[in-house]
Amino acid sequence: MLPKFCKFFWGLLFISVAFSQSSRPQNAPSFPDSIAKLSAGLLPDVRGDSIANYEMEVTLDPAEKRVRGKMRLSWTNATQFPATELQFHLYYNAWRNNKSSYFNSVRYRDFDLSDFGEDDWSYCDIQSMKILSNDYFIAEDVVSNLEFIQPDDGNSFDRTVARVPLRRSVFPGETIELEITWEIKVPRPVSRTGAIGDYFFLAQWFPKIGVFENNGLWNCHQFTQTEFYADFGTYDVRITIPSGWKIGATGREISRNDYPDSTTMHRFFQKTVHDFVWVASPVFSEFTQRFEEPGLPPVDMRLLLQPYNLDKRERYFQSAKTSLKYYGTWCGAYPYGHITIIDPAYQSESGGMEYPTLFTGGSHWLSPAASRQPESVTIHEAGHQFWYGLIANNEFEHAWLDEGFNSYTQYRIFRQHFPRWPLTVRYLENLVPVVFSDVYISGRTDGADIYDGFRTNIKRDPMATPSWQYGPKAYRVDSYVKPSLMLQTLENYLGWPIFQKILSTYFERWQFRHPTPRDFFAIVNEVSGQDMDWFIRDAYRGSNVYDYAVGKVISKPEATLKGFSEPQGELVYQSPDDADADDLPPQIQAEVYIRRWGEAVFPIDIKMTFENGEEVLEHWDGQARWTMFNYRRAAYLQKVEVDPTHKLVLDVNYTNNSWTRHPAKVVASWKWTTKWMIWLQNMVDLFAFFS
Amino acid sequence: MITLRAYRLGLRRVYQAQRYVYVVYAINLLIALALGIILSQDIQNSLGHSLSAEHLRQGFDDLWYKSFSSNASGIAKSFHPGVTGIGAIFSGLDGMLRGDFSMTQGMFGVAFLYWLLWIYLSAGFIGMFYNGSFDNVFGTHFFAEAGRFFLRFLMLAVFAAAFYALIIYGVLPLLSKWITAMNRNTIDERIVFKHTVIKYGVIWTLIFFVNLVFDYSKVIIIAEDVKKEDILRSPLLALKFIAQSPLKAALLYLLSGLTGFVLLLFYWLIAPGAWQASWFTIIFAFLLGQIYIIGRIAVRCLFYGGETALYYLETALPQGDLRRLPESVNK
Repeated sequence: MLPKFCKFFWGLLFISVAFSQSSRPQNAPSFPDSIAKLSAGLLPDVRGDSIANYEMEVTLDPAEKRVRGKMRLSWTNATQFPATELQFHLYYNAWRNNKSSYFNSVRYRDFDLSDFGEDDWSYCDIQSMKILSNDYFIAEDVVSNLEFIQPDDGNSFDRTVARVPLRRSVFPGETIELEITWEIKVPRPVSRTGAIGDYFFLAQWFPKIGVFENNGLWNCHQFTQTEFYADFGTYDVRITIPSGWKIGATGREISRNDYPDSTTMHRFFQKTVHDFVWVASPVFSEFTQRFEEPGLPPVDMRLLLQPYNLDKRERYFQSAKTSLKYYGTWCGAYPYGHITIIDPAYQSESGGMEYPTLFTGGSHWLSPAASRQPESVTIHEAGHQFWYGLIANNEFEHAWLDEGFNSYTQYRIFRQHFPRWPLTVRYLENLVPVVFSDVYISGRTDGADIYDGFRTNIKRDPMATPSWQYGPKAYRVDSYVKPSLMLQTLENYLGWPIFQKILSTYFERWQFRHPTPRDFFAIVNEVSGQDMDWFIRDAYRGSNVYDYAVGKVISKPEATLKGFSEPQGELVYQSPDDADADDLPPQIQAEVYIRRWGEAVFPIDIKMTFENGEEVLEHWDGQARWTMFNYRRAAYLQKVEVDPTHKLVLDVNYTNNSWTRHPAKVVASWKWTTKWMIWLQNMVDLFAFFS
Repeated sequence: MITLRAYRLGLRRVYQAQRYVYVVYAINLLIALALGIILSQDIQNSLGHSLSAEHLRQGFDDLWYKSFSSNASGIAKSFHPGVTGIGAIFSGLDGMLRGDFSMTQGMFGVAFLYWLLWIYLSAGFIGMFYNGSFDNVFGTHFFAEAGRFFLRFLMLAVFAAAFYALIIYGVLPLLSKWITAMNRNTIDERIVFKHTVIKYGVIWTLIFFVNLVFDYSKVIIIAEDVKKEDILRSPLLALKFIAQSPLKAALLYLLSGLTGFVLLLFYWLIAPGAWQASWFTIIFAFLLGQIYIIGRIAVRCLFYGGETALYYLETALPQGDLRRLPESVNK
């Protein structure tokens, strides 16, 4: 608690500026900078991991697809600014109707709603909201003050953000307690939540208080095309569902009560998390295992598996263990002691998603091990416990801080732990897989060529654009693809020991907190001891592409002297045909031009290999549009490799990075053309069936 | 048993007509070669002097492929690594099974010409099978029959295409829609798998039945020298024939189909992947594929041969008198 004189100070200040706030723009600073500076040092001593605490009692009605609940929310102002209102996310209103900002966002505007019936939509309806009396507040019913706002696009139909103005501000360090009752209608599966058959996956299902930043503003975006952002706290949730149903949720189950009406109440409890999700269905089979690794704390793993995926039990567990091991070793230990893995139901749209202490995997029924399903998604989503769960970045604004980090780490694990990834093609409406065991496909961090449209999509938005503002087709490339390539390039440039130290330092400093990109880049510079701003400017703040290439290569015998010269001081005419002409073997002159076709700059190595085995490694700062190297050797130049170790995985075209004197293009092209010819012959002959 | 006898006769006929099987194969190969030269040039242009060619020679280079495919146009758009090994067969079969012919993008003209060619040549095959005249070195009889019946077969093929189109673009979408609606709340993938298999089972039973009817229509056109004006009656005659001996017709069709299936399984076992790195191994792998293609063409001819034999055995031949089979006259 703050001393009384500070409260007086804040109260006076508040009154003096109150009139000036009435007409200020919604996102304008609350206080002049000078006052903000004065208040520095008066930051309340509030644990960042216990800001928004929820106690809930909810009941699922599967027949009506509704959840009714009551919660007690305890929220503490951990900033140095008073909060004059509270803002809430009501995510389930995103699918209230087709006029919401979600269904009109660039990412989802083509969502097919043609088969959405009355039962398929959703809502989140706050029925009552009361401030509870405590040391700071008197009891007050505030639900009538609730109003919906649209801070991002002004779309009056959108109800995913609500505000409640307060008669008395919540001053720094103070806690307000609210009792809220609400009801949600569970939608047909959309955006990783919903109900299908008797499978209910409830994510973002309760009125969730936004984040009040330390600039006096609420960071509470409308729900359109991004993921989420919330403060840490404690969740104590009692969920009543039909008896006999299995349930998985954030946290550990600490008690269970059976009721005479064939329902069971399950109580889950978890501290220091920023979200709560749960899933219930009678079809799950439950399995448990324990993760144990020297140097890392043990983790109890609980797996809820679909009946058609029982054969994948061990694959799920091994993948989760692999993820916990490598993330723990490289970044930092997983602190919660338990984790729940959900094998999502078919058509539930809930697969491949992360929540604190719980994540969903996903696999087809027919899924050979080589297809890496469910391994790939399990490693990725388990990894999100670290990047997102513990390092709780604002996913509305910096989605790449979890998705990009996680993709990078995931693919590092693949290279470390798994054999090469063969191609799997699924036939018959994606139901039947065939593995092509000697055709290997690239991982996400193998190079920028691997994603169709990367070279067109990469210029759509810089990574630094807030995620909720990405334009069409930019979200995936700027949240997943480019960030993971950027991080891999950084690792390649700085070396793994330094980069691993960067990751672990960042993890240690920012767990249970909300870092921004600036925080991460500051650690990069600090730990590496270098100013990497030149790279961050191009890779993160800009949308320029990297493309270095071999240009022209000349390797030919040096011309024998013909014409006038003064070999012994006297002017004589020399010709190669002269009897006494020098008959030493000719030297080979080589000229190599290296080009920078892209606008982004990166220092690169160039390796020259001569036919006598000699290798020369050059280094170029990559600044100019081209550079040239020339040599005089006894052997021809055999090959040129720009960035031979492929440090710059952001290079959008690695094919043009090399040159060889004896290209294998003819045999290579005919190898694959003959295969294609067999395909064509077969395909054309199929028409004979219809003749 | 007459069905087995017809099947064996069909095999013998294919063997006797093998030079024409090779003619069809040669045309098939030439088409592929002509387009293959274009694709090979596209790939070479993309590779240039790059070391990616070496990776591609020794295996596969996915980074190169993603660059290539994002810039590809024309027939190059159809190139993908799934054409290796059995993928070359499955890819086309999967599309055909689902009625998805989009993989012919850029090559529909070629496929259409091949379809016309088969109409022409099938008249030659059936005419030759029915009359038992395999001995003409220059194939004048084969091509004479082909020319004589081509227009009638073409009319029949267009008529048949209407039925195929009705099944693939009419019945299949309806079934698909019905199954999607039925499985709207299904959360067990096995159920959807089962329904999907049943769906395609139904569709392809219908298609095989249409195919059976029109195959016998062709035989009847030749056997009875059906006039152009009466072409549309030939399916009815075929239906009548099949109705007289439904089990024999179905069993023979099944036997011939099974032969093709065994051939497919055999190729699946031996189909080379992406390991070839030298001209020798590349050519070897290609030749294995050609053996499969020749086998496929032969199996198609087997259908005609067996069906012709069955029709002859059931209608033209006095009971048990096999000495009067056309091939017993072998000059």
